[in-house]
Order: sequence, then structure tokens, then C-alpha cells
Amino acid sequence: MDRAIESGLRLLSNLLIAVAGICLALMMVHVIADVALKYVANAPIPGTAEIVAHYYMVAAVFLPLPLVELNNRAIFVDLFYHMMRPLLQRASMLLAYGAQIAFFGVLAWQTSHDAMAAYAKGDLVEGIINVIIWPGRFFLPIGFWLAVAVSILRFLQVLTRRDWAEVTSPTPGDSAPEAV
Amino acid sequence: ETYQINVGWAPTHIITKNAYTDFAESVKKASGGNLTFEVFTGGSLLSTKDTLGGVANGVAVAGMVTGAYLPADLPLDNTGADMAFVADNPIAAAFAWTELNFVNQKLQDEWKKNGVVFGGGYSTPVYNFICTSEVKSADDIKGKKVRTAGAAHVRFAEFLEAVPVSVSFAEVYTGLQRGSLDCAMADPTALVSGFKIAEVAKYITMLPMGTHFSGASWVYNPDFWKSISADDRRLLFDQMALAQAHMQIDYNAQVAENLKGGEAQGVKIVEPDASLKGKLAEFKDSYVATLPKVEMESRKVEDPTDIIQGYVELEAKWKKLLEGVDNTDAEALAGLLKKEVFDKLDAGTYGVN
Amino acid sequence: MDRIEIGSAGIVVALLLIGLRVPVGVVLGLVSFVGIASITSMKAAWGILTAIPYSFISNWSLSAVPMFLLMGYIASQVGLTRGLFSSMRMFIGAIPGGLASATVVASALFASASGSSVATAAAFSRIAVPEMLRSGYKASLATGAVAASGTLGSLIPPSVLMILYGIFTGTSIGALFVGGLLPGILSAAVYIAMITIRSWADPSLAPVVRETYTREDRIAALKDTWPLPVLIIGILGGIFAGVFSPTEAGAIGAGLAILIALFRRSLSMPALSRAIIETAEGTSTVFIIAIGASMFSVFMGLSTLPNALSGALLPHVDNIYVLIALISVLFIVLGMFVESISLMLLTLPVIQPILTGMNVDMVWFGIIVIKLLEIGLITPPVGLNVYVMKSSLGDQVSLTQMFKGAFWFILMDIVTLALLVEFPSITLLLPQLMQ
Ligand code: NA
Ligand code: NA
Repeated sequence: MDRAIESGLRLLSNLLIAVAGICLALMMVHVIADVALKYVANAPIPGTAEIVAHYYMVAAVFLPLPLVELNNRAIFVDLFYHMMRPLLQRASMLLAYGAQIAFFGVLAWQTSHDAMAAYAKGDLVEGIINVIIWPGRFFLPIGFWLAVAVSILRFLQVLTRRDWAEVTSPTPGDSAPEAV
Repeated sequence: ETYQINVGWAPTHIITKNAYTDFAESVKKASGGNLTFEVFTGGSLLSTKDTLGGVANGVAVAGMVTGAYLPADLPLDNTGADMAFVADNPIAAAFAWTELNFVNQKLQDEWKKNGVVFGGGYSTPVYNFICTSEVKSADDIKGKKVRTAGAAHVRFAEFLEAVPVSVSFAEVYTGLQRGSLDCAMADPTALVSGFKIAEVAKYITMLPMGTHFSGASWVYNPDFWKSISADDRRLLFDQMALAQAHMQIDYNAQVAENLKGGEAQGVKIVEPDASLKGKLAEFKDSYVATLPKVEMESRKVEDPTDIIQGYVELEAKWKKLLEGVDNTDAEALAGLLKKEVFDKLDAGTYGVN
Repeated sequence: MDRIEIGSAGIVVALLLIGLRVPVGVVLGLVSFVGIASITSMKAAWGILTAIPYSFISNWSLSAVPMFLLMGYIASQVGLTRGLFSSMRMFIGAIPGGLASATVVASALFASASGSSVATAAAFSRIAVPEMLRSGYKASLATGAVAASGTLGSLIPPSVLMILYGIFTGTSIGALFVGGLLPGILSAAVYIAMITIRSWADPSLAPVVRETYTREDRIAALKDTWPLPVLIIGILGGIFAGVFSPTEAGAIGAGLAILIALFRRSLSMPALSRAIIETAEGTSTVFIIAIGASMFSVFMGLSTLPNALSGALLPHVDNIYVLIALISVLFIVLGMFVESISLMLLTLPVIQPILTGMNVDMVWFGIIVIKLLEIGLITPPVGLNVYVMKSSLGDQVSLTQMFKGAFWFILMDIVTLALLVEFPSITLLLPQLMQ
């Protein structure tokens, strides 16, 4: 049952990180084009800094969050964890996921409201040109709500599964440097 | 009781010093410690952009708002930012903008809609070009990369066929140093006391490109404002009048000092020639005439003619009033501001209902 | 509880939760949320959530960090780093800790252009650490060297932190820039001395190369060294010539890495997309912590703990050495929890009048402050340079090893600080010559 849910969540998370990846690639291309035009033709692309800040950066930070959680790759300190007995380890994992649900939960809640408010007022910034920025606001609740869902799944898995330790251990990166 | 107040600018900024640090001290003294403000600067509590929302939410009970950063929240207020080119007397601009915000119902409603109570305005000194090469004529500025601050400046830079560039203030210094910027549109206080660009710039062209006065020196959280007594509100009115007078006098004094300090660091003062002045006059004429229409289109506001007209009239009124007093006497200026503006407000009802 | 007690309790709870393996970013954010709510109001705490995550991230200057991460991923993914490090093994492999020392030098050069410490660490983690691990270096030494030499980004001019210090205190930015140069070089030299001595005393830290190479081997190895130097020199040259800004340099660096890889025919679409996806994961991982850290700084500011500590400790001191020592302790302790700019804003109003009263040179003091603030980037629990490395290296090196490795470099920073205090001319010589 939870496996099915997990693969569903992974599908969505992969989708989000694909969007984040596209935004990172666009960030690179957009900035390079801006620099090139500024240098060669003295004609920078107006709004570059604003679009980088309010779209690409926001996407790159908040959309990958669910996948980071599914891969259990958030940064934590496991120095003392390794000294604990399994029962205590399990309890501290429950605490960790509980805290995560709470934090991502309040963020998801608040940023949903903020995104709606930004949409309602048609939020924009004025640089060289006016840049509409409210759509980028929605990257936050999307990332946070899915991260909440992943955290709840993990919480329940730690509570109910016998192989909870494996389910919650970090998956190695594809291109991680070889171990020594 | 102790309350937090917030200004996003640096601790040494003229607004920070006069409207926050010194203001907090004199409010404390005047209220006998009844109102104690703890000042947060430079974004250590709220950034300049977040201050309006943060004050509405009670993160701070008062804060400084730069309207130009919040075009969607404050479209009418930004009409003020767009009128930049009209103003040539910072004190008159500051006091006129303050008065207009109290008497114009549309502006009052806009502040209310954003969940805050307006407390007083400000105006920067007149903007000039600060450059790494000499800009004297209309030809000199063509093709130059110019750091602009606000939509009105962008339109003027484009009118001059310069290249407007928007970079953060920390990047202005290194931008001028390395040549990714040729000029900055800034007031002379950026030379020594602000961004300290006298260290990297070589010329300042004294073309009077208006001042900047959108937003507010203070907006207050309504719950806080209601929670204090009418006497305390009156005390704040008096103190704001005084702080505003000090601030504008300090701004004027700093302009003179910065020009002198800049010259000592090798920044040459350049008088623009007729071609450049002509361009500015040409731009101003077409600008003011089309402003209401442009505002309605770009900011999607109802016809702002009353705001524009109201400002122009009040500015003229204040210029006249200021002729009668010593413009370096804080008590005199504050007295005038109280008499004309703050004393007319009802401390029992303003911002309470 | 009064505000100072809430602040102190917040620190204790945060350390406890981090020790219990709750993710660092979650701890910092959640504790701040509760702490801010109890100091001010629930509504204000929600207000902070409205402000910080979005405003902090939607910032153009920060974009250099993901772009330099991407550059590092691409460079390591397609093997741009391999050739240079192989030939370094041949030519300087006999020097104890040679690769780590070379990394410090390269990092210092890079730092001299980037102006940002986190961006420097982001650029070098993937480029240098895997190669050092491959040569048998201990992970703590390899990561410590990169994290610590990243901190030179703000000490060697230009530096965003110096610009802000200059504006906040009314000190000449130009003098700060020039003044930071020798202390920056000194810091790097002290790091290298420590690396060499420790590696010499304990060869298991950094095994020296004992093979002998033929002349043909050496010539062959030299052929493939160019990609990394071209990449780094391209970035430095472009910044110093004013072609692009340090912020734009990140995207240029990533693009240049792709270009070099295309030229060497070592770029595949799958490799590129993997690099991008991993950059996205790394970006998210590190900035969630940065958001938590930023909220924690606000919490600390509202608790008045930093100003209260400064106000309690400093005003009664009349000996300059004692004063600087106390300020150092204060900054190192507070720097564990409060990020650099906030720390300056919260403490300088207390400190500056005392210094002015004692006629302390603000350029000299500024460099000491920058050095102290930079130490905060490699101390737990809020040590962004370490976290940016962790997020780029994944599970290959544990956080504990990284902070342990950084510890030695912090000790060296204290040595450097002592030298800067004892010999003010290290800082002031160049600014005086400039006048
Ligand atoms: Na630097
Ligand atoms: Na730290």
C-alpha cells in the first residue's frame, strides 16, 4: 500500500525536479545571453535579474524539496544517532518526521495564502521593465505541500514497517564520487 | 513598554538615523519611557521590501516603506515615485507628500487596505549622474550603462539613449570600479556617506533629475496605534514632525558635505551643458502632461489626476511657506509642519476607526 | 520567561533536536517560529514565514551559488578535473598534503574574484574534494581545506561583506579592500603550513606519491591539464576585465564548463541532465538550511541576546587586547547561530562607540571582524560553507567529518587573528601606502 503511494509521490517529485532543472538550465542560458548582448551590442536583456530571482531561483530551491525528502537527503547530524539503541533511534526518527511535518506544514499553509494574495494583487516588480512575479510564488506551496505528504508517508513507515531503517536511509547520488 | 520598529536601510543611512535611531531616543525621552522603541536596521528583522507586510502583521509596530519596491501593493503611492522629475526642492517635496497622504482619501484608503496607518513621508535630495567618465552633453550619456532607481529614471535613461541597468546597491561600488557600470543615478549623499562611490567615481553631473518620495518614513501597525492613548499618538505626531524636519535638514547638509568630501576624493563637479539640460526640459514637459494616462495604463489605477494635481498644488504651497523660515532651523520647520499638517489631525480618531 | 531566556532556551532546544537527527534546516526554522511567536505574537511569527522564505530566495545575488554548483558538477561529471589533478600528483605528489595546499591556493585565487564565500565553496567542493579522495586523502582534510579556503572569498577583496561593513560603519571600502589582501594571503599561508606539517607528521592523512614517472609519462600527463585552468582563468579574467559581474560569473562558469566538455567530446546528454538534476537537489538542500538560519537570526535579534551579551561584556573593558579577545569570543560563539550580516547589524551599534572611544582603527578592526564572521561559516550548527559542500558531495563524507576537518582550520584562523592583532601593520601597511 505505502509502496504504491510512494511511487505516486516519486512520480510527482520527479516532475517537479524536472521543472527545477529546466529553470536552472534557463538561468544559465538567460544570464549568458544577457552578458553577451551587454558586452557585444551594449543591449542587455531587460528584466534578467528579476526573472532569475523571482522564477529560476525560487523554482530551483523549492521544487526539488519533495525529491530530496523521498531520497532522504536532507542534511542532518547522525553523530549521536549512531550511539542510540534501535528503539531510541526509531523514536528520534518519529520526532524528526513529526518536526518536518510541522515545519513544512506551517510553511505550506502560509505560502499558499501568500501565493493567492500575490495572484489577487497581480504582484510585480519594476526594474528596467515590469516583471509579473506572482506565478513564481506558487512554487513554494507546491514544493512544501508535497514535502508534507512525503514526510507523513515516512512518519507512518517508521511507525509501521519493520525495515523502517532502510526506507529512511539516504540513497546515494547517481554521480557521487567513489568511496575511498 | 518596549516595541520593535524596523528600517531596512543601513544603520548609517540618513533616514535610519533621523527617523529611527534619533527618533526612538527622543520619543523615549518625551514619553518618560512610556514608549520605548527598539530599532532594527539593515534587514536584521525585516528587509525594505518586507517591511509593509511585516508592520501589518505586527512583526514590528512601525516601519519605513519604500513604495517603489511594492508597485502592486501601492499603485497610487507609486504615482509619487513617478512624479520624481517634478520635484526640485526636497523639503517642499517631503512636506507636500506628507500632507497629501493625510488629506487625500484615496491614499489613506490604500494604506488602510495594506493594513497600516500612515505616519509621515520623506524626500531624497535631487538626483544627479555620478560617473566614471565625464558626462557634460547629451552625446556623452548616449550608450552609457546607467544604474537606475525606479521606473521614471528608466524612462529618462532610455529617452537619453543610455542603457539602464538595475543592480543591487552592493553591486554599484564594484560595478563602477570594474566598468560594468558607467554611471549611477543617485543623489550626492551616495558619494561619501551612502554607497561610498566617491572612492570609485570620477565625476558628478549636476543635472537636476528630481527627487524620490514614494512610500513613508513611518507606517504603524493599527493594533499598536489603537492600543496607545490619544496623548501618546499626539506625542508621536509631534516627534514625527520634528524628526522629519531634522531628516530633511540633514539631507540638505549631507549633500553639501558629500560634494565637498567627494571633491576631496577627486570627484569633479560637472555642470551639464545646454544640450543635456534641453533634453531634460523636453522630457519633463512631455512627461508631466502624459503622466495620468501613463499611470492609468501601467498601474491600472483610476484616474490619478487628483493625486498629481494635489501634489503639484501642495508643493507650490510649501515652497511659498518655506520662503518665510530658516530652512536649517529644525524647530521652525517642525513648527510649520505641525501647524499645517499634524495639528489638524485628531489624535483621538486618526487611524483608530 | 523574558526574551533573553526564550532566546537561550531556543539555542538549547535547537542543539538538542539537531543532536537527535532532526534535519538542520527544519530545526532552525521550527525553533525560530515557536521562539518568535512566544517573544512577539503568533501573528508576527506567521508574518516572518510570509517574509523570509520567499524574499531570502528571490535574490539575484544568490544565483551565483547554484550556478557555481552546476559548474562543479559538470566539471567533475565529465572529467575536466582529472587531468590537472593527475599531473599535480606527479609533480607535487611528494609534498605532504600537496593537493590540499594547491586547492587552497586555487581557492584563494578564485575567492579574490568571487566576492562571496559560499559561492567559492560551492565552486570548489565538486572540483577538488573527489579528486583528493581518489588520491587517498582523508575526507576531513579534503573537505576542511575547501570549506575553509572558501571563507577567503570575503577576506580577499573584493567582498560583499566588506562593502556592507564599510557602509554600516562609515569606513572607506577601498581601504578595506586593500587592507584585506595581506591578511587573506596570510590566512592561506597559515592553512598551507598546517596542512604540510600535519600531513608530514601523519602520512595517512594525505599519502605522498612514491611512484617514479618517466619523462614520457610526465609529458603525456601535461596534455590534459588545461581544462580546469582555462575554466578558472576565464572566470577570473572576465570578472577583473569588467565583462561580467561576480554574480553573473556563476552562469558563465557553468556555460564555459559545458563548452570545454563539448570541445573535448566528453559531454553526453545523460551526464549533463544528471548534473543539472543533482544541482537542483543540492540547491534545495542547502538553501532550506539557509532559510532556517535566516529565521534563526531574526529570532536571535528579537531575543536581544546578541546585543545583551555585547552590552554586558564589552563596555567595561579598557584594555584593547582584552577587548578584541572578548569580541572574538563573542563573534565566534554568536557566529555559530547568527548569520554574518545580521551579526554585524546587531552587535556593531554596541561595539563601534567603544572602539571609537579607544581610537581603534576601523579598517584594522574591520578585517578582524570579517575574519571572525568567516569563521562562523565553518562552525556548527549554522555553517553554510560546510552545508554547501555537504549538499554537493552527498553521503560520501559525513557532516561530522567535515566539521572535524574544519576544526583544524578554525584553529589556524585563530592563529592568523592573533597575528593580525599583534601586528596591525599586516592589515594597515597597504592602505597607508595607497594614500
Ligand atoms: Na573576494
Ligand atoms: Na556557524
